[in-house]
Amino acid sequence: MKIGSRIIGPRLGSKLLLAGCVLLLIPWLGFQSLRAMQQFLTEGQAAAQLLTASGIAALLHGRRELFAEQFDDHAASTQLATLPLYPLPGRILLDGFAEDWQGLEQRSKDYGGAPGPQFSLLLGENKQRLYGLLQVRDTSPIYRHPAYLRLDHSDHVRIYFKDTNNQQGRLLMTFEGSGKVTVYAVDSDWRIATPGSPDYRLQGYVDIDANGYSIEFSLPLAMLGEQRQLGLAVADVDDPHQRTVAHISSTFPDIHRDHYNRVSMRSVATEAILQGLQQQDAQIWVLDRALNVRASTGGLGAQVEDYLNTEQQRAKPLWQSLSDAVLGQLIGLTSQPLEDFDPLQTLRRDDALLHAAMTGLGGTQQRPSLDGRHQIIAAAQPIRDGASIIGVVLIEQSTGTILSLQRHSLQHIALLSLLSLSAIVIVLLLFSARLTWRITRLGRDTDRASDEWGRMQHRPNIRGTRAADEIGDLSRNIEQLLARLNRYQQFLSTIPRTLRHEINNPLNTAATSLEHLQAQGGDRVYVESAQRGLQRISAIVDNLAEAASLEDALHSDEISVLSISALLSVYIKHLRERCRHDIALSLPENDIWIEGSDIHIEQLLDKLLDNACDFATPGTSIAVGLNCTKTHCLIRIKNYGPTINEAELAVLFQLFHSRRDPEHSNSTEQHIGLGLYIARLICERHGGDLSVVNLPSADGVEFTATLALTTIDQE
Amino acid sequence: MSYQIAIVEDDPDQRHNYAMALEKQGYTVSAYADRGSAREAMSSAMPDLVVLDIILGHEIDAGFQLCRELLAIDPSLPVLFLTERVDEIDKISGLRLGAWDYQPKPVSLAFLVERIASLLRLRALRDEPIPATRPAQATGHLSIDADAMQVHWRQQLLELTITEFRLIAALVRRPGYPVAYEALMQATIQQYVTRNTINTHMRNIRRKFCALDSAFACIGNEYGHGYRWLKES
Repeated sequence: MKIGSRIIGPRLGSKLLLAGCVLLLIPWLGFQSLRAMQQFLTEGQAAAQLLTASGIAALLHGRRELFAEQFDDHAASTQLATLPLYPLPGRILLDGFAEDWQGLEQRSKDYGGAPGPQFSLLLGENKQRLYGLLQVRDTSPIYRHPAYLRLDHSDHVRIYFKDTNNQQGRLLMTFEGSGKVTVYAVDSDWRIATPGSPDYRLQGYVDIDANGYSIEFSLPLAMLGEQRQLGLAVADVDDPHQRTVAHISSTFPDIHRDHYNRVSMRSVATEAILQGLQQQDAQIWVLDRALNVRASTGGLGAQVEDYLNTEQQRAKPLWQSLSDAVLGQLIGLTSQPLEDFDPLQTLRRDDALLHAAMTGLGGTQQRPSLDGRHQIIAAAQPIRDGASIIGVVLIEQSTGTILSLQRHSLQHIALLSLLSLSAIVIVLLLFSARLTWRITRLGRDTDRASDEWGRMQHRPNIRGTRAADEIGDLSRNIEQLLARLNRYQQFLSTIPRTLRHEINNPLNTAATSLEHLQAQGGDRVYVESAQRGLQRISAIVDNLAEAASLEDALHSDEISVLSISALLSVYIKHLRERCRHDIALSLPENDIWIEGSDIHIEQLLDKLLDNACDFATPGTSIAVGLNCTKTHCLIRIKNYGPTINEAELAVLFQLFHSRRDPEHSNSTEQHIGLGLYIARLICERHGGDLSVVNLPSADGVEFTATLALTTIDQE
Repeated sequence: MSYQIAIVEDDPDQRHNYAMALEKQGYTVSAYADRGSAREAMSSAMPDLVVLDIILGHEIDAGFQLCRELLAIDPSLPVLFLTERVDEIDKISGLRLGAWDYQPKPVSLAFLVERIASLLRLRALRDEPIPATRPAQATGHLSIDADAMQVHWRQQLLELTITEFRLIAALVRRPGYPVAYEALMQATIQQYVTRNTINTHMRNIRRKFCALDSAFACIGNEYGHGYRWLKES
């Protein structure tokens, strides 16, 4: 019998593991603190950027000349519109098509008007080269004729500029159809090429369509002097025969004065200042009051690529790619290169900030990059000159560094958490397994301390009583409890023997007195009935004492190897002589050997066959069968007669349980519910058990006594 | 001259019944209730036989102690324990002390009288040996001297109690034939005997034979019936 049947539910180990899930809070807390750290670092970066911006603004403080229209020796020149120079994301492929200007072409400015040619011009700058996109509306362009030496006999473009020596420079672009343009330095009349050979500093390409022609050209910025004056004029020749210049449109009003438009762009001096402040991962802009870019340095694009170089990326193991992907989801970091260059939008996005700076308020803002995958912090500070504001310093920096730092920390935390979690889980598992094992062992030991009938073992073996913890306490308590129970059981088992000792004296008195009475000629009937009564009392007391000490008796008995089949056949032979029922015995051909006490087997047969004889319906036969399994032999005793009800089956083999009705019992036999109890004890002593079933036909019962076969080979 | 028999029994009724039964047989009986008075009386005049109870009043081993003291004075004194202590261990201790017999209660007076007569006869034989009136009966290696109540196995004397002697005698009466439990019970001439008692006696007898001769196997069980003396092969 198990102590406490199993209730379905989580076991101790599962419960501990569940409780251990609380440990998952550790990485979460780490993540939260990282978030706070990110916030802190971002703010720190913004502050640092603002400080840098202030520093730059302080450097530029009062340097009005850097922002003024430079070198206005002539008042008129200040009237001239500047040619805005837009920063370009990269080189322009000189092919006459506008695609690589990335929408910047909308910013081109229109010049000229009837009757002169109309054209639009857009200038950009990249890597110290100036790029131009010129689109001329001319439905009938006149191309250069190779036969003419003079250059003004066809449609052409004139470029005016001041060179590094502040001398007037003249370049003329002419073409013979779609394709590369040819550039010459020309005389002051724009007729003859002065060196006679093309000038390759300026390169261009023309594309001609129905509306006119487009020229993309490029020249090194170094060609221009410090004044950066540049003018452009389009000469239109209408008559293919006359080939004279009909009209000239230009970007500046008077082509005969050598004042041209100033190319409004970085000033060399400002840029020189900024060079020293260049930061790897930041982009610094200096803008003037009109928010034209005066200088810029650095770039945002490269830093992310720098951080994860492609070689490493390729060599990354799978787990790292996985962790990158997961972490990217968590903190928004991406290893994609940053693309934040859009000349149209670069400044527009920081508009509010810039305008605030213009009013004298420096500030920072955080915005997503153009590709939406990065965060960019922008800081703007006004550049002052006394009370007035002459420009703005803008520093843009992506948070990539912080994010990568955060990612590193997260990886670190994740790895440490994983390691510590698995260590804790393993320790918890081992610990719980050990606890569970100890508790299970204690339960098993406790279970074994008594047999299924509730009798205590003489020496219950409780292990783990030397442990100092609570389970050790529990083990010791159970051990003590079992010891006490054992003492009590021993006390109980001695009661019948004590009782026998005590009752034997009065019994003896009565018996001897009766004998005297008999000798004196007392009434024989009464004397004999009194003697029978005494005999019953004596038998009851003996039986009780025997049942109580049967365990000891069984253990002290001599055990021998004996043939159960031979014993059974002798027993049945003698039984047939005195039993009024027919007895059918079926034995196997071979002898069956068991190890045990023959006297007690005989006692067992006495009990079972007395029982069968008493309950058998007169005239029916009792069937006794013997057969064996691999390890046990089974003695089946079947009689026809009353069946046993279900409730009784369970308690049939318990002490003091009798099947017999009081009127059913005869006076000479003692039936105080010991017989089947003793029979069961004998079976158990012989390594088996005793069971009973009602016959399926419900007209009798069958007892089966199981006894262990001997392990000693009989051959 | 009648034999002098001392009875030490703390229960007055039993003491009286024993005394009456023995006096009826012509014995002179002196009865004592406790160890002190018995010891004192007997040290001056030794009886011919003593019947002892073990528990006397509050002294649970008084009988054993008295037995030891009396045998120290007269080692040939026949001592018969008659007690409610029926455990094997008590029986063995009693016989080891030198008691001639050990009878558990309840006892039949007829049996007691018979037993006392046997013991006195044995004592007389021992004191002045007379030639046996009946020759010893021999069955194979077993010889039984009914007068001396002695059993020899292969010329070796077997120390048996009187009950054991009677059981052997009953078995050997018809060697080879089964003897039923009932017959064996009667042979003990004790009042209340169960099959278990017979089985226990038989086991003890077998042990004693085996102590002399480990190959002894002449007592056979007749399961469900009784025992049988098997002829030696």
